[in-house]
Amino acid sequence: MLELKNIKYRAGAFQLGIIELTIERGEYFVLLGPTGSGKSLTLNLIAGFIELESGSINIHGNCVNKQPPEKRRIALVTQNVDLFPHLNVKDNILYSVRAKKNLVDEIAKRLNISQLFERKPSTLSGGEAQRVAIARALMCEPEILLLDEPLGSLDPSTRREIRNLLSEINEIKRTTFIHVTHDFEEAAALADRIGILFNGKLKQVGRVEEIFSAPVDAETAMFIGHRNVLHGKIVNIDGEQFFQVENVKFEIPQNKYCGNAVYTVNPNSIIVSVERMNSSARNSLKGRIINIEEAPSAVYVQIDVGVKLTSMITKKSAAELKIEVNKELWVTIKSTALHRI
Amino acid sequence: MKSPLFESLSALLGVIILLFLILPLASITIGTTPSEILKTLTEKEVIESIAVTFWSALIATVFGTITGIPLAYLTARKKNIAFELIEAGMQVPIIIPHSAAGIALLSVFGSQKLESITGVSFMGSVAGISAAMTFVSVPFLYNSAVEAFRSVAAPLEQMARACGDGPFRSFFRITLPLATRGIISGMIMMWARGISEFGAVIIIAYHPMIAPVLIYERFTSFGLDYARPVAVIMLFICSLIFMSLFYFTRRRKC
Repeated sequence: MLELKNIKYRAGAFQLGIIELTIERGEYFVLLGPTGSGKSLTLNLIAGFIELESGSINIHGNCVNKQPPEKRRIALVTQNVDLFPHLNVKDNILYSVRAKKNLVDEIAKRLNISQLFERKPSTLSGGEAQRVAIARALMCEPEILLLDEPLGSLDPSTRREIRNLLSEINEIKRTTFIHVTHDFEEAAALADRIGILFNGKLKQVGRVEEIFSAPVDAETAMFIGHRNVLHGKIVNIDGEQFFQVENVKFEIPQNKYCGNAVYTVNPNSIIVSVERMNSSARNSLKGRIINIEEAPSAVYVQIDVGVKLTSMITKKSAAELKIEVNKELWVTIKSTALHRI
Repeated sequence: MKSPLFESLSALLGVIILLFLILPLASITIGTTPSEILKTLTEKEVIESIAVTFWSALIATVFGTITGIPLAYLTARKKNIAFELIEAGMQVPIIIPHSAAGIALLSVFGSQKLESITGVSFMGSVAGISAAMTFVSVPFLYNSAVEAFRSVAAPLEQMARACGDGPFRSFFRITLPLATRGIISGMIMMWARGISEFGAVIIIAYHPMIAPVLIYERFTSFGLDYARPVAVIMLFICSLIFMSLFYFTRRRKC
């Protein structure tokens, strides 16, 4: 188990923390945030490359603040791979003083790198080099594996391959993984839990579905790819509560709060139809299609109902509805699908 | 794509500087007969001066390497004003007149106090010659080593630490092997610069006589014809050694 307690660090104008976080043994934890949010700095503090200003880092209950990196039983895989260029692949893998030679064959077979043993790092492709870097890290038998944007410089198919590999290794080895990325899709595919880091502050920690369905604020919602983030205010009209955005009013579940608010609606929860639907849904709005975006498995339809809303529909539905820009459609949203953040 | 005019002009200017360097060297070589060279090579004074020159420069290079490499490493890794000043300060021996360097060295190494503390006499000794050579030539090693260490990415050292290496181990297993080429080039430059030193050495140790001092003494006492064979011998030996070493270091691949 890794505990970060009251972590603070200042680097010039940038302030990291206060960070409080507990990561369970064997957990795949993803630290997600935009560039410059302090993700890599956090990894460097955990690794011991940078000395903490305040707070403590505990590994399995022991404070490691004063321990140098080589004593912390951590291993690191980075975006730049950082294989030792003067050593061949086999010597890279066996580099660690903790490396157990009897593990070489097993790990090399799992990562499909046995045939690369005699090659120098400069001759490897991006995917091969990253597999070797992962093998070297695993040979260290780490308690915690730190992954600093490990998929960042790879092409899409290699990225998928390495992603599956990381997930598989985490399942088998039950080593704690802390993976840093700015890509929500990558985080969602890998993480047991995600921590959202913005400007040095850990805003939210939770399971993928928790964060996606209830992002802590508008910034987080936008970052993790919410398409419908609505800024408006909650108003009372004749004893009923509405969420008003410009001149558009959405009926919402009753709550005690009034005033400015931000709501999100999952594109999956927005139904579009040619005729007004007669259903239990409380919000039916007429609008005009302003944009159509085809994704591999769906179509995103942006409709202007006074505010812009994006609905995700299947390609089959798009064809049946004969959607095209400027076509008028009805938008139906259940009031419970509006989530206040 | 470069224009023919640009390439022709570049080649012409290059030829001028090459001739500027080659002509004097060719002139003394052509102006010296093989029999003169062979006769000079039998003179004990010449052989001894060449041996003292190479030996003193080697001592200077070893001393400069042991003490200068750690400083070069710190300079490459520490980003603060103190090390920026040190880096600038290390260039001083290159820019000051070497006779001035000799006077400065004399004020330290000429004192009886230092001799009584270290037990080493610097005046008129190989130790003094090596000290003078170190002073004027160590910046070449230092500069080359700093650049070599800078070219080794710091994350590689961090990676070695994460793999379980302590700072010494990661330095000797990662940093030093990757910087070796630059360091060896620097050592060759330092040795070469030490061998060619005259101004600082002549002030601190006229004797035992190094080859540059011998050439100067023969020139002032007996004239050009008497000095020229020693100069040619030095030119030949130095060229042979340095070309071999450069060839060796260029061939080394990481």
